[in-house]
Amino acid sequence: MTAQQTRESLLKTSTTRRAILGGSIAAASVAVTYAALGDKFGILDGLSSGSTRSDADALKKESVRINHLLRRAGFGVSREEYDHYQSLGLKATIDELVNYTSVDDSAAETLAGQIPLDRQGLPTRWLVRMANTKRPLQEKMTLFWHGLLTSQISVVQVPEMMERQNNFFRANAMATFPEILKGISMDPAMMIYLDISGSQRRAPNENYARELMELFALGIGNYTEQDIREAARAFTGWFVPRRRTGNNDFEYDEPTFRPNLFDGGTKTVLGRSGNFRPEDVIDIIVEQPASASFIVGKLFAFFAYPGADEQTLKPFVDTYLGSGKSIGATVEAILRSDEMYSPRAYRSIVRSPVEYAVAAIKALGLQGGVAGLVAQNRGQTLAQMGQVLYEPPNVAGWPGGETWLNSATMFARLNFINLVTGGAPQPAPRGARQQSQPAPGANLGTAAQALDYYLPLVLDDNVPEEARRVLLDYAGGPDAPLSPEQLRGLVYLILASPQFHLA
Amino acid sequence: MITRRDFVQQSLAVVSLGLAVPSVFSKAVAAAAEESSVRSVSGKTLIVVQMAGGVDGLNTVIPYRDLNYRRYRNELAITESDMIPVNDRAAFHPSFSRMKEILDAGKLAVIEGVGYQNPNFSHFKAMDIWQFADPEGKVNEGWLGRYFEGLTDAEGHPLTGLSYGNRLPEAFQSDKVSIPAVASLESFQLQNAVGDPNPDLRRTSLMKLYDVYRPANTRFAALLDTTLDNAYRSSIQLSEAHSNYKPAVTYPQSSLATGMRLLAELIDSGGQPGASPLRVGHVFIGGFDTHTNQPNTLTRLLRETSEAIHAFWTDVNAHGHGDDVLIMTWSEFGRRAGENAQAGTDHGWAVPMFVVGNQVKGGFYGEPPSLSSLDNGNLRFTTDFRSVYATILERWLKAPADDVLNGRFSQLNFLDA
Repeated sequence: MTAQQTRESLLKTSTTRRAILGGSIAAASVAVTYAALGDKFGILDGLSSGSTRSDADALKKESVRINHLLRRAGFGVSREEYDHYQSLGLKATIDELVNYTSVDDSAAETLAGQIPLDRQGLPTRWLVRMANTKRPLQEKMTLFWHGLLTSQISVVQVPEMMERQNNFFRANAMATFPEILKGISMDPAMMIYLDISGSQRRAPNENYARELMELFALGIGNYTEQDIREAARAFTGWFVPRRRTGNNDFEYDEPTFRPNLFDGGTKTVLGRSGNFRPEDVIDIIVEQPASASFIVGKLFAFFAYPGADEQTLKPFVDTYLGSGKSIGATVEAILRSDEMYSPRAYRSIVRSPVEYAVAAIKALGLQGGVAGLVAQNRGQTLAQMGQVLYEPPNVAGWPGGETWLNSATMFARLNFINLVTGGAPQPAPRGARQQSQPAPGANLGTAAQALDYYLPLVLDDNVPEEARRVLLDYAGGPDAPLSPEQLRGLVYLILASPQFHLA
Repeated sequence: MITRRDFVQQSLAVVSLGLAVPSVFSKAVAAAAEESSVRSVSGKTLIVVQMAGGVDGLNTVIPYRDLNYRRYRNELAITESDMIPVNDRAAFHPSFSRMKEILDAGKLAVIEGVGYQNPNFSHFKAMDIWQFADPEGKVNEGWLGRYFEGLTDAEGHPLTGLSYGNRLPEAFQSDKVSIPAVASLESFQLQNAVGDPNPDLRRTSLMKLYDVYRPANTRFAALLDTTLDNAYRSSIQLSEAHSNYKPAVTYPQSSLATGMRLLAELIDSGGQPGASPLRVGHVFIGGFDTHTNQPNTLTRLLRETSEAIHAFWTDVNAHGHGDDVLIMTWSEFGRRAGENAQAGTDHGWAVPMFVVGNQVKGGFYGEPPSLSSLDNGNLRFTTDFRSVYATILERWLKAPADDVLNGRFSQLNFLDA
């Protein structure tokens, strides 16, 4: 085949697409360009069919704000959750989310505990918990900490130690920042992952001190190499003893301190001097103004939107500092703020693979079949999407945003939707099959009825008119009776929609 | 010397639209300039072979006349009658007979003693250093990702880069461009629903949904649309390439060979020589971390590597693409000169790299690391790995190495300037 032939055959195989895209791709890039220029010429008004306005309009509805909140402070909604939180209203929903300690979550804990705690089961246990929890904000914060104060199972090796770290995050999700940093600094998995374990006076290992300042608590540019070297001395003397339990198995004992290997000299860190121990170094770091902006900026980007300026963050920094560096108080302030429900926040975050998968499972009421669903496709689905829990790519965690989306991850995402809507080659697993009536009690006999049921649940009922038309056309019109295959296809199209990738 | 400006001018199809357009929209840009005659800067293809785990360079390119070799490798030294002498100083591991054939043909460059100052002995950190081309750990985009950011293919080919494997190698990481990672042809496709009487309708409806979602206030809408479109077109192109291809050799049974065959199919999908859509392909072979029982493992892995490379090289030559393809191997570090007590070797420093291609000036490059002046038991590096990258960027991919590597590195002469 010649290049010309290939090109033609390429064009031919996607004729429909090309025909549609012929003008629109160029238009999309023009739109992006003009958006970057601030649309001085008002060109977007014509191109965007008033979508900006439609997002702002959508946010005027409390139902949309609640759904938006639950994508950020949770993992999307099941039908029951949707009904529950919608009946509560936005304010009471926030109250329930933040006061989660008064919500009983033992059912989710029990379900998760039924999965064996081995290398395979470790991430599945957490996924089961995410999909079934009655405390969505607590699980979401646990995921936040896992992404920020990272460790990798491939380095730590022992699932029990990773889950112990995870339980620490869950139990202290809303504690003060210094408490969390002090706790994680003495967490065995972290001590192994970043080489606190084994670091000694003669040759302090700088790994943890560096990441503590660079990635965990302060940010690059706010400390010197000398600060790292000095801080590293404060973390010497600790060991996590390793014990062999089988041929290739081992476990870790509690961290022990060996005073003779600790550097007891005077250290100077960020301008202060003393015979510091780990907790002193953390207190010094969190006293830095840069540390407050750092952690508040991370929380704001996680819940509201990325790239906020200093002025926007200021009230939340004030809350943080005024509350004794309380993460809970800061998160609550963000969730109650107007910024949280601004058009700038709306659909401004790409769902991570885990959030995407759990949201789809919940939308279909398949929470009971999580383990079976993620085990399909040789257990590779989430890996193909690019996120395996407990295995971030490196100490910086998952970079997120655009990096979640490439050709391969796009297929993995859409093929997962195909799986959960019952279209995959392998039969759905048992737990999932039992619940695979996607909408018990709902009348989904026509496309109009199916759209009424699903669009508010998963897409805030906020899609372009053209999209609604595409969906109705697929089904042969709003009132034509749906075959089971058509209903399945329609639910697939709704969940596979571009907006569903966004939180 | 190619400047940044030349590179951008030659490769970006439409500079006039403004550089505010991220390169992820390259296809959109290309479509907007359908009539532009600008072609990609280089019709050449680079295949990167990652030998993960840290290759024992000392038993791969063996300084067999050096008396120290047998001193450090009491147990693990390769028997003289088994090894393959290639000159009066060096011999190949017995598993490298296929590489010896390529060397004899004058198409293999062996670069010895490659590494960098202040080596990192952690696999993860060391791999990052090689892939980000940054020993300081300050950069978070891969060296090939940075190359792709500067490259916009006017033809709008969806497959200018491809990694065979489960996840994208860090070398391809970029904030701006997305390179597909293909674990298998089977997973790299948009699945239809089983029993769906009208799968085309579902697919075209899906693509319309992405097309009509065009809110002005999210930067992700166009990315979602182009990613899906790109993925779909890539998968069609890949499966067409696959079904049309007749390999000229029988590829060995290994994941590495399977990946290389896929890349050969893609290279040939452009039709005539020089028309390959692929600029850089990445394949992987793991398991070189031979702390224990090294001989069997190394024998097997080096054989797999050399046989896959030889099969691929023969195949692309038979299809007329030999002059347009370059293969480069790398490994995150070499291994300790002295063996350990478990018939294995521990993490070391300098490591050889291998470069194969018709345009390669075959032979030995770099200074062989000395066994008589070790650093803490490690072979000292003599050639910075970024010199190899710089050579390939400038002389093969015709990209400005200084910009991609954030610094200037001397070049080697295994390719003509």
